[in-house]
Amino acid sequence: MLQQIFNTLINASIYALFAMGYALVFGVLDILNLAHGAIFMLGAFTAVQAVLGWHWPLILAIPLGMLVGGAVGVVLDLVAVAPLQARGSDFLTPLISTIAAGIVFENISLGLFGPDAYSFPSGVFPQTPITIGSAVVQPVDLFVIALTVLLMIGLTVLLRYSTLGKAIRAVAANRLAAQLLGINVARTVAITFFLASALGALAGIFYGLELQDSISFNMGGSVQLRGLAVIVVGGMDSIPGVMLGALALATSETIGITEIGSSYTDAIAFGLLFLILIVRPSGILGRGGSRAV
Amino acid sequence: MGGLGDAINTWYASNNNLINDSGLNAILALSVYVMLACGLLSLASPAYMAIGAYIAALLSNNTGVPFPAQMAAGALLAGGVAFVLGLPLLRLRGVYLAICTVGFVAIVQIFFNTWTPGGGGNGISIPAATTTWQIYLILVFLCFLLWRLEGSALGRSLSAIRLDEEAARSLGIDTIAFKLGAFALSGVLAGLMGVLYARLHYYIDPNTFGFDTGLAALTYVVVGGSLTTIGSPLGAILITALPEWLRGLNDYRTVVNGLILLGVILFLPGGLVELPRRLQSLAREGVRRLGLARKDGG
Repeated sequence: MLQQIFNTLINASIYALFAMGYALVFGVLDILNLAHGAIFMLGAFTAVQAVLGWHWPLILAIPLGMLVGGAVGVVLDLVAVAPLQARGSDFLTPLISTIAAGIVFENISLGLFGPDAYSFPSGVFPQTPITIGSAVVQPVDLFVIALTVLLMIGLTVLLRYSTLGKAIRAVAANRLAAQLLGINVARTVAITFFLASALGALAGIFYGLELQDSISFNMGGSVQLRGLAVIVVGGMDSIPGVMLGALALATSETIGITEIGSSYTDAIAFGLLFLILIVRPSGILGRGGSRAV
Repeated sequence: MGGLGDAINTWYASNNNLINDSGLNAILALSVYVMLACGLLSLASPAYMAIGAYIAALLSNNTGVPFPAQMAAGALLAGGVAFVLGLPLLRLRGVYLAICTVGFVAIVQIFFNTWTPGGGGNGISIPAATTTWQIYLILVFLCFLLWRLEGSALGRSLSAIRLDEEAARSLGIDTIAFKLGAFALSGVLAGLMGVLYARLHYYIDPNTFGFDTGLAALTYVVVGGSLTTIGSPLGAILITALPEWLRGLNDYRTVVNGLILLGVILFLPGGLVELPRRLQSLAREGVRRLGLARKDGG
């Protein structure tokens, strides 16, 4: 039982980090960034390349992966999103332009690393299992869970109290008003993309650390749908909502695997998603509208 | 005559897969287009397509039902399912509706993954029957139908709903009936396409009918132009054929493929259908500048 709770928490951490990126961008721009799965993949590849190819320690490879992911997010904004926003486009065209950008990123990775699946080497993290009650956990599991919780708290504080956070929330609430008040909207949006993408990249690195042979050019597909499920369940506009949504999805998957059999886990996740959307389109903790981080 | 005929035959023989798939994708794109025409973003088409495809498989393998009757059965059943799906989804808009339809696609895909009469995850074989002229005859007929619809009072009601649902309702347009009608029509088109797809490819499995197929169909519509009927088939044919045209680029063709998509979205926000007008205005601008320069010179 305790073991399953740990497994659930690990999955929930990865889903929450990934979905936070969706939620940040959606909150500020009202668009879905469908290249987010590709950034998840690029983060994992950067870190694994640093560890395997350049023999960096993991503790440096992780920030590098996040930086590269964040930088790619900014490029994505400048090339595929900002020009469309400047023209006052609907939500449909940025959706397609981010899909196209995602295709480009995935195929660049395919060209660089080929179609093979990669893993972090087993010695990259201490491997003495820790026994907690009836559960045996790896140090890396605790690291993933703890860092996720810390980052979520950090992000909450950043958005609520810092000048940058206030600027992000102002742009999310009303772009034009924020501009009139002297906030550099374009820069704020770019920073939002950086934050969102760095979190997505970290989710990819964690996914690679937790799952053997999981780092491949198309690894984003598996989390893309789950990320959507999380922001819908939790509401697109609150950090606690995203965490709760991630937890709900991971729990339903764990229960699905142990009680019903693995082939139905996705059905449970999406059945839940479907029901919540019909009953409460703004999500469990959403505030009704679709705006505001 | 012989030379030209031979040339066409050779071209067709080496490209027929591409030609068939372009036509089928164009029909799938139309199924997304009819939803967008009244402002609904739906990615549910692969699920309807799966229903059509599996109906075709069951009927071909177990009964003697003729091909045209299979098309009707697939189209009607998928249309019915789409109609029922529309009932609870009517109140959702924009991205929320899109994500909910993605959930529906996942559920249908999982259903077929575990459904033994359809072979589950292993898929199922079907005798082939679809021919190129059937695909294009149906496509042209559907385009004509939708083009006529566009100009009619019905079509204007749909675009009124797309532009402002509240205002449309206040003008006495039964928005609920129109939206449900769009759902049903979208189901019919994708269901029909599913039957044609299954009986073209000999073999189907649940992987085909997923999220990616829906995104691809949406991309066809937006790249071609989401405001007129002709945009969807244009986009479908371009995007389906593009990787083939770029074959010479070898490893980097998929990257270039993505870049071209991005370019179309960024420079032709109204889609490919805007290209002639865009070129015309560029040309006019060029002529005007030339004229000015000449005047300055003289």
